[in-house]
Amino acid sequence: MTSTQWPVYQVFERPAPGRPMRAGGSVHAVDAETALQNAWAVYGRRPTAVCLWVVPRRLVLMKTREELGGLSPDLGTRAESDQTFCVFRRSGSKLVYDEGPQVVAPSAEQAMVRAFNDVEDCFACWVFPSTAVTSSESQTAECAFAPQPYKWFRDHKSFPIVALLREIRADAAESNHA
Amino acid sequence: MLDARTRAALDSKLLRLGDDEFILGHRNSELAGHGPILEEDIAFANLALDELGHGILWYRIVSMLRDEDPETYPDKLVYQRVASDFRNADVVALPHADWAFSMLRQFLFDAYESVHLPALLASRYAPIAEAAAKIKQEEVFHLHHTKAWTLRLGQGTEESNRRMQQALDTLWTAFQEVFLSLPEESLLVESRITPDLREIHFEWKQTVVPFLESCNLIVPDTPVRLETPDVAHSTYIDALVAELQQVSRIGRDTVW
Repeated sequence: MTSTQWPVYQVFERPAPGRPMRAGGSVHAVDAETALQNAWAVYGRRPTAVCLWVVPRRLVLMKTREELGGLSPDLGTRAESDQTFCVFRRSGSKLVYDEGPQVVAPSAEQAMVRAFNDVEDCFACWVFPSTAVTSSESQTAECAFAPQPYKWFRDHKSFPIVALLREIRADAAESNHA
Repeated sequence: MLDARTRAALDSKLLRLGDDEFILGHRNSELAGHGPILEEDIAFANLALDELGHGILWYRIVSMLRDEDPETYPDKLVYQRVASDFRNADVVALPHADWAFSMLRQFLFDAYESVHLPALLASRYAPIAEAAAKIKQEEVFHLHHTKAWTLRLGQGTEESNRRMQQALDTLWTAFQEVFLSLPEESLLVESRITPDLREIHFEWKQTVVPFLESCNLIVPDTPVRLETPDVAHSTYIDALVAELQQVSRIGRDTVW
């Protein structure tokens, strides 16, 4: 039996101009273009994000320092097959994965070894090739992903429907009684 | 200053614009919780919510034209009007048939707005141009989204293509009513308050037909007559409005 579940894309967002990207969450989508649209609808619109990335989860290497084990850094010279990897790290008491400097390495594992070595209190890491990114900034219809700060919304507490209906019914019962 | 006849025509036209958006938004809001996948459910509900907001923008202009409070009068237009007074084209009130149907209807409507709104930006009546500028921003995303889905469903599997084709066969003729001018609309066109809908229709067809064909869909070859002015309102609007007003009828004049 084949799976009918759509692939998962990790979503990254830039909360304000000039700030580093951070991991936002994930969406299901049939391809990168619709993943970006879903990411915008779910994460980008409110509160606002100025830039969104989507990356197929199958291309993201996710490991804690323990899981990676004692892999030692490959100190060999740079090869032509080296790729640029994006690095997101959780360090210290932070709850989110923040963007770190990109790393050029022969493999995702090697990129991760270097990322862990660079920051001592980093305990979990995500690494993926920079070519796996689909960015809202590279889209032709970029204004389709513009944040909507003018959109405001009220949460459910602003709509006291249950209390209001109870009040109306009580009034109606009282006038029936009288 | 507008003379009485132009003013009456403008009033009807604004209701038409507002009702098309609001009723479509309400219909599509029924799908909240029924989308094919959570992310799409949220995205489509957002589109519906936007259309409700656009409807209210037009109702606010109606309020000003009638010297009513633009904050409270739109609620009256929605919750206290009888169904037969709604001026929307029937097609936006048609009940949901399947996902393909609702997605395609939203696409046809977004494509219409993407042609209509730029023309409204040039309106000699400033409140219309201002509202069109606000709405246009959001329509960019709407069209982007519904185009992506129309393409994928049209080119997707045999099943998705069949459903899209069925939806197009149902919607194509019915949708043309959106381009039907109201009885006195020519007054507005002459005063350059609104564009000539025949031009909008021509431009809409020029963009929509090749796109639908690129989605492996066959555009029905039915002749379209835009001259028939009075089309009997479908029965769907009665049930829709009854449901829409159900809660507000329990406590009239309640502030929500």
